[in-house]
Amino acid sequence: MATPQTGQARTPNPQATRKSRRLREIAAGYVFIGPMLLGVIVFTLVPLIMLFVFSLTDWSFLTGYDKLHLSGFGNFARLLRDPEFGESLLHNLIMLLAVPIGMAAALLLAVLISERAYGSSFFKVIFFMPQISSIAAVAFVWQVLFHPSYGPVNGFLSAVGVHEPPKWLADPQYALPSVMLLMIWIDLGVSLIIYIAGMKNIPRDLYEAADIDGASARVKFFRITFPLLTPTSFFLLITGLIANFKSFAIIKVLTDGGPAHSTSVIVYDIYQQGFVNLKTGYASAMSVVLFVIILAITILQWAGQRKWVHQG
Amino acid sequence: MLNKKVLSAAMASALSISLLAGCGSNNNDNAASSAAPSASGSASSSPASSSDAPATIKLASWIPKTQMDGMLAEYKKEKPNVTVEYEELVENNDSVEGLKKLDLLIASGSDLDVVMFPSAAEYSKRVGLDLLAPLDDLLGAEGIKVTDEYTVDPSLNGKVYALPDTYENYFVLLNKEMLDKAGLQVPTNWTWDDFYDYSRKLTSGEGANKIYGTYFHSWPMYMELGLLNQSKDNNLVNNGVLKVDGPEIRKSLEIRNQTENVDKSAIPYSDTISQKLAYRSVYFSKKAAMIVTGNWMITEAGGSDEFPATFISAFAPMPSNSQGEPSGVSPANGNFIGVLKKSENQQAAYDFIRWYTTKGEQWSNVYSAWKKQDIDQFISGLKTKLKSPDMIDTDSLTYVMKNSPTTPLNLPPAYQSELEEAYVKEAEKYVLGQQDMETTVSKASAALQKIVDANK
Repeated sequence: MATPQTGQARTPNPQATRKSRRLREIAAGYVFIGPMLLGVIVFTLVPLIMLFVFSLTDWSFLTGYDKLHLSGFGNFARLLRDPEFGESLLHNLIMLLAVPIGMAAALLLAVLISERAYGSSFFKVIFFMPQISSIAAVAFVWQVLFHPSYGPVNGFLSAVGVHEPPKWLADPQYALPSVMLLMIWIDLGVSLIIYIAGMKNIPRDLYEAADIDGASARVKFFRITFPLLTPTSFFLLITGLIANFKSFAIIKVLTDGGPAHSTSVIVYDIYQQGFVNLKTGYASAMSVVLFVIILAITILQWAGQRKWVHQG
Repeated sequence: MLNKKVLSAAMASALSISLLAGCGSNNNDNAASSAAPSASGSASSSPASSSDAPATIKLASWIPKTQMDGMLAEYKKEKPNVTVEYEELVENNDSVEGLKKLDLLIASGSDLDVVMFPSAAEYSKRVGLDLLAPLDDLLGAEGIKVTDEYTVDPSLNGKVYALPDTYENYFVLLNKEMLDKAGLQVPTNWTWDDFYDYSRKLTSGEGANKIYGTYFHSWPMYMELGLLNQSKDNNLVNNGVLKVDGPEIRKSLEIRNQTENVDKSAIPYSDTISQKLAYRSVYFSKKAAMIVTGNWMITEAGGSDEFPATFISAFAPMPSNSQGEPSGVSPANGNFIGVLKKSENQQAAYDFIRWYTTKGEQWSNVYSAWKKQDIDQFISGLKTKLKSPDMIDTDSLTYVMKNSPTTPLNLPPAYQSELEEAYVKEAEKYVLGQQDMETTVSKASAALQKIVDANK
């Protein structure tokens, strides 16, 4: 009787120790992720919730919390009627075009550099340069290049016979394309490096097999390189679109949203309303709209990726 | 995207920090509001003793500490019991950046007492947010009517929330060497038509070496030049009434169009905005012969570290819109200094700003809005302080200073920056040749009316 007794007494014990060990492991896990979790809660989650609250008020961050009154969806109603905000949203959408155009240019350059050029690392450095330079310095260089009267760009255009070249950054019709051109130029290096890395991962034997079958360079590109690079393209597209939607620095240093609001974007409007006009509530409502749009873009892309992204 | 990401991350963290700081301010607010009644209670029961009671007040502004220290040492001689702690907001004397820091400080519940604003519009905006204490009772206790004491009336909605500090009016600064070369006199009484004429005659050269007659900076005021020189109602919106569809705004637009697009005697607006030109370098590097500017440029015309004076500068009053109207009329702007509503040292803070805007500014020889300041003494004082005093034409300066009629300041509404943005947007299209005058006026009127309605 002694043995089964001890056996009976022992059987719950390993379970209890297993349970308590599991608990201890979970606790240890939380201790390890604790600092990060705390950071996320304090600096991301709480501000995010506060953003939603503020978007329903007409509060200004300068006044104390005792002046915080809920005013319902007034800010959002005002946003709907605000033509300026509509313009900025439109500019944001037009600017998104810079992402696929930039990616196409980067892919083309990646193929040329890795297969058809000597000294490929030299070109990588050259194309990466704008990315590591200060945005203010880059903006200054392009201001000079785009000078409406004496700039080299317009100098060239007049030399080849363009009668009245555009005024680029000072022309409401050309300012946004000029900014987009600059964005493509700055981001080209990163996409290029990532594409080259992606191409290194494509097994060489596929190309060898294609060579044996007598495939042309064009066929190899469209049947092997491009499909196998779709995960890279997907990554670049999703990060590119989000970053593009949030662009602010280049607008601030290059055009200040002008001339005549032709380059204003949502984040610039948020800055202007929130920190210049001191309307925190209204700026928060704009941020909520931006949040929803970026969320929608991300969801759409995740849903759509199955259709075209090659899963290794 | 690295730069953008870093910046947006920085913005996001700044926002969240300010929000967190906002959490803190909640507690501070409660403390301040519970303490304030007792403080004001003791002040009213024994006003004489409280003004000399030991106190520490905190002052924040963008003015460099080195410049402020002498002034505060001088105040210490006047009131040994009172200590003024100075918080320097920025190191580069940039009032716009300083203002952003100030906003963050206030939002984080810092215990500032005295704050400074670089313009009437920024002052008005903060009063709109109910941040400043009304000073009427304290002025009344001292037996002072603010309009008797200062050339600028800082009242908003019938109450005084700040005292005017520096006095800023506008004039035309001219390169006298170019003027002499073109055989022109320093104007003492002129209209915008005369200005066009001067500008044309002062323009010379071609291409990249062209010297222009004049330059208008990118600020909104340079789109309102024909409205600024009116002796009353010289804002875009005065007491809720728009002044866009009128002769003054049409004149303002015409000034830009005539000089830039027709005469080509002013630096084109497309250059100004695309190259982000700075008015100091344009003037001091002799790219333009005359600029409309304000009296903070008097000392700078005498040379600064960055822009040494290499030629004599003369001064002319603001042109008038038509013959018969007085020239030299310009709105009086300037710095405003006020006491925060939650300050616990209202009396001591008030005493300090009264001294600062009167004897203090006289001590540091700043052109102030104090009526008792002596202009001759200011000009002679200026000459002893400047790097190259000979580069200032004293005769024309004295004339301008004494013959610029001061207009009553119409404090702009709290939403002035929104109005200016909307107006400039349309005016820019006109100056850049994208739309005609009437379209500009009607579209600007509609946009501004919308803003007025939204802020009712």
